[in-house]
Amino acid sequence: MEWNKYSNIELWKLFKKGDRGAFSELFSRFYPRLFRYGMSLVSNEEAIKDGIQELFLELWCNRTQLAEANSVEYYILVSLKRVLLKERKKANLRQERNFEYIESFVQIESGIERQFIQLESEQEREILYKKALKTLTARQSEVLWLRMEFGLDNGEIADFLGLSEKSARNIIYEAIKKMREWVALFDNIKININ
Amino acid sequence: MAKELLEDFLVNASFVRWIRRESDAEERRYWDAWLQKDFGRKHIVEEAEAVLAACRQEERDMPNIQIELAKLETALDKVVYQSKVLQLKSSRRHFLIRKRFLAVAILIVGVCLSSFVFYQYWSNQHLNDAATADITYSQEYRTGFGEKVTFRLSDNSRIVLNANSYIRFSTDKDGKFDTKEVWLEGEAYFDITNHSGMNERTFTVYTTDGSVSVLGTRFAVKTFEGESRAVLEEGEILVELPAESTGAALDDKRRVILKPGDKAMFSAGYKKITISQVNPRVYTSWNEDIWVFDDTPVSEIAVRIKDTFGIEVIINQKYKERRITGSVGISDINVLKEALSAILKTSVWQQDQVLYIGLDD
Repeated sequence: MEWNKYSNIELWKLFKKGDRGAFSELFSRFYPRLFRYGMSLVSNEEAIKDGIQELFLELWCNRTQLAEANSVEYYILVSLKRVLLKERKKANLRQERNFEYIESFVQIESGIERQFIQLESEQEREILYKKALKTLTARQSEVLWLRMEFGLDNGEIADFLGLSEKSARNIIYEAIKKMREWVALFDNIKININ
Repeated sequence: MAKELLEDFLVNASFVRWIRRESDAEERRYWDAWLQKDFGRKHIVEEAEAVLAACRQEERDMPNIQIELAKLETALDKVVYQSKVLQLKSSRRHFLIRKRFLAVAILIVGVCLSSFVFYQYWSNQHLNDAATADITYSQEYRTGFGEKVTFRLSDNSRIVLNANSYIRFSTDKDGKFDTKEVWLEGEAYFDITNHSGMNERTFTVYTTDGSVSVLGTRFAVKTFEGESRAVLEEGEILVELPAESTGAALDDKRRVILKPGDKAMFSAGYKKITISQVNPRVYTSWNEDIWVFDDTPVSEIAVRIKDTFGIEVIINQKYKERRITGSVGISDINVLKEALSAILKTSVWQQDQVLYIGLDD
């Protein structure tokens, strides 16, 4: 089955009808972002793996009671948060909400100087943006990550973080603008070097 | 026209979904067309893809998804008869489950989860009273495969809804539960407290084929395509065909009073009620997580397995008409499989959602 042609909502509808294949696809598709989100709540890898298993089992158990989701991404994210927070309370460990995790993407691998000369390829573009991410505030990173990695819309980000929809939109706008301008600096420098 | 900037598009979740390739066909068409109109937009798409790639975490920190998926599949295969006990309170407002899915889903999810965790740690025990919760939100309930729900009414009456079934409760004009009438599709067991004298009341179960009314008693009702069945364990019940379905000539056969041990098959379509005598435990024991067989053919047991667990059953011709008498616990499908295997003296094994009986002979 060509599951990658299906949208999240289409998979959700099939899963509610009891389709195990669609359900497995949802699991694989969401796993990376759920794991990363989990790391920002509890830093214990085993707890997150268990939490995700628990979450998907719950979903399966209750699939006939779930309504049509307007947003699969939001519902799953919010449910994982609930599962992990409950586990965290139970375990009674003091966990620090680690936003540096969201911010700290790949380590810088080579010196900035070498980046100038290699600006053509896609990969370098990505590395530049990775560095640009570090110039954002924790709040900007968080909101941007919920948009880019989780696919939440403005309203959902707003609900999730307790902001207004307008704020969420503005934060993304400013964050992207900042990153774009930062990356453009390198384009200019490159042009000047040449 | 204002210059199109990257940030103008990334504030739009639809655009981001398209970049992530998680759009449905309609959304994809929309953005594909947008790109077609002006190929200069390609650079926006490339920048967006770079931002997306930058936001992605290093895959090396991730657990192995295939392994996690395999763990999930194994656990799903084990999900069997989970019993939940829910309290019906008549003093609060109700909502259809679908309208408040978040709040209710969390509530029901909580109940199911505690049952499941309970099951995980003590897998061979009965789950009968795994958890109690309020279900004041809904006037209807539908069970999935392998799921059984017990409703406790405020007068301590019990209604047990079997797997793959649906029940609807009536409410009075204030939205309170009016536990005098229910509608049923599928199968349920009723243990209704006797209210006599001043508090006397009739409790009625409606199906598409007619109604079963009771003063205080224990009985089971099951609906099928084209007819319904009521079996009385104790007490007295009245089975009645709907008025419209019968002509004047059939008046006396329109309603029948059952005694314990009676089974009534009634059909609005065929306009009749047929009574026979049975061992009621064959038809009611499921509510205690036990199936009782009384000269029951294996083919019929297969149908029951399919209706309850949603599992297909393929049987070696040799065993289809073999009859079984006895009882078996069904809190765990593995117990059922072993029992069948022992009684029939042949192999019973399961792959995915299919059970194979006697195919190794």
